[in-house]
Formats: sequence, C-alpha cells, structure tokens
Amino acid sequence: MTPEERIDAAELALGLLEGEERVTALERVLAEPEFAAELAWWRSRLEVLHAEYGPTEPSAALAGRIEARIDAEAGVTAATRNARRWPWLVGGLAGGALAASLAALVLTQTTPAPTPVPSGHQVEGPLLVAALVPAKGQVVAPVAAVVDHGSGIIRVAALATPRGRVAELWRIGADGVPRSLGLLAVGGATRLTLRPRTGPDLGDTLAISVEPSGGSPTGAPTGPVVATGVLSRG
Amino acid sequence: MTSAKLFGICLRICGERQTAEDVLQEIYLTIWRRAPSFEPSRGSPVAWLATIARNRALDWRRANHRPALETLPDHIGRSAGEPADTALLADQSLLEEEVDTRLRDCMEELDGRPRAAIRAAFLDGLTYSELARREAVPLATMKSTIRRALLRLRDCLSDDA
Repeated sequence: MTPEERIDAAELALGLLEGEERVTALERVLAEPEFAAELAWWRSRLEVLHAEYGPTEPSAALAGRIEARIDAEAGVTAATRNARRWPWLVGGLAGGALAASLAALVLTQTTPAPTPVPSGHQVEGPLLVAALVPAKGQVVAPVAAVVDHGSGIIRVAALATPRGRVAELWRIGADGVPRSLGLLAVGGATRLTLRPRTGPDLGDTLAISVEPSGGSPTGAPTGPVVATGVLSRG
Repeated sequence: MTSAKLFGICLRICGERQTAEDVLQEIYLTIWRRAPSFEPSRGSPVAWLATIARNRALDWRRANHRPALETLPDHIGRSAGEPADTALLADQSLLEEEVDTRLRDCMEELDGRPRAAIRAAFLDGLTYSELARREAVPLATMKSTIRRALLRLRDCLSDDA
C-alpha cells in the first residue's frame, strides 16, 4: 500500500469525504482488505480524540423516551418510567473467571440523591445497562441487559437457546451466591419485574445459564453459564 | 462514559439540541441492537460507544441538509481557529487508562492550520468542502494541505511503533 493510499484511508476515517468520493472509498473498504486494515488502523489511532468532546446534559425526559423505544423495539409493553433518571455511565470491566470480559453501561440519576420510599412505589435509582458477553468456551453472542433499579424491571435482549432448554438469569452479589432473577423468554426479548430494591446493584454479576425447561430445579445454576457481565461504574 | 458525554458528541456534530436528542435516542437503540456484535477483544466498550455516537451523528449530517457556513454553531467556527483550542483536553472520566499520548505528540508536530483542520474534521464532522469554505481557500488547496499533514502524521505514528 502506497503512502498516498494510506492517506485515502485516513480521509475516510476522519470523515473528510462526501458524495462520490466517499462512496468510492467505502467500496474500496469492501474490496481491498489492506485498505480496510489501514482504515481500522487510523480509526484506532484517532479514537483518543473522543476524549475532547465536552459533556452536555440532555433533557431529563429523554431517558424515559429511550426506555420506551427499547420496549417498543423489544416488543414489550411500556414500563414504569421515571423521567428524572439520568445519565448513563459506562464502565469497561476486567473479565472474571467466567467472563471473557464485559461491557457495562450504568445509568444513574443526576439529581436528587435516591430517596427510599415504601415498596411498591417508584424508587429513584440507577438504570444499569450491561452487555453480557460469552463465558469462556461459549459461543453465544453478547446480550444487552437493561436494569431499572428504581422500578425493579430488567430487560434482556433475545438469546438463542437449544430446543427444549431455557435461559435463566442470575444475580451474583458480594456473597458470591447466585440468585435466580427469572427465566428468559424463548425467541424474544424478556422483561422481568423484581421486587423493589432486590438488585442487582452496581458491582453485581449478571449471569445467564442454560437450564432444563421450567428453570433450574435446584435453585442454583445446573447448566452451563453461557454469558456473564458485571455492573460497574467503571 | 456518561450520557452527557454521548450527548456532547451529538450536539457538537449535529449543532442543535432537538436533533442531537433524536440522534442520542438512535444511539441507545443501536447499542441495544448491536451489543451482540461488540467484540471485547477489539477495543474498550468506552471507545465502542463513542464511535457509535460519532458515526450516528455523522450519518445524520450526511443524510440531512448540512448547516450553511453562516449558521454553523460558534464552537465549530472557533474550534479550528483559536490556538488555545488545539491543546488536547483529556476527559479524566473517559479513556483514562487509554489516553494515547502518541497521537497527541504527533499532532503537536503538525503546523497549526492543518492540525486544527484535522481536529475539526474529526470533532465537528466537517468535510473537505466545509473546511475549505470556512477557511476561504480553494478546495484543492485544503485537500493538499490536509493530505500532507496526514502523511506526516502517519509517519510520526509509525515511528517506533
């Protein structure tokens, strides 16, 4: 690859091109592996510039709208929403023994601090989003999970399971004991409603195991843990 | 990374709040949909999120009427011009462990004008023609200036790498 061609890739990575020129460059990405590799090289070098974007608070109502969109996308009915929750934080976390690694987004409110209220009512709390990634040796795709700590609603994207088996979602807290949060729907997204304030919390691990139809007969995971991720503030 | 950071990306590239909020919604939807394709081995989740945000915002700019030069938000006009703005400001909450001082050092070695233009291209989503209009130079001049700078940047980044 000539130096000039490397700069062609840089132009695309920076977003300098438009119209025909951009189309031509994009075609080269598909047709020329070397060009695609050069583009990836530039993108990874330029990534550090993301740090220069200054933060700006979006409107408080936006969190609720996003949750509604996710519900619509996932085919579940609108959840209880709390417009004051915000913002989302992300943390990358080191992989544990089971996790290949994981990504977690954490949503916390900006103001005010959580105010405990009697159970059954809405509670201000962080909204956590995690990408559960495959456990070692497992071949499932990462799965997104959104945890509304305030209302106790967990949304989990669709996960493929073998015929006749179900996926079960677990929370593993500081004591290291897995506690079942419920079974995931077969062939679609799931929304589980937990008792208020039963977690999971920041720092907890979410795990998905494959269990016999009806769920784990023992109260602990009996099948392979296929995906796991830790909720963290990063 | 906070939603404020992702929103900051949208706002800077889209230039107006309402649009930026619409784009931010799309970004979260994209994250929800694309989590299965995230490859932990290929980069940090923070960079993955920021990349999605920037790309979606740029998609919007490409698909819609781009603001005329006169109506570009002030910060866009400023960002490429003021020397003070060429200093890289690391966000402590972001990329803390992955700050690439190499890029910073190599950018510093470039002349001020092309350096500012490269930053504006990345951060504001400005294209060659928009940069040329703003600097009031012929398109071909802007292109060759930036391409020369990118060649130097490539060489610098490759040294000792």
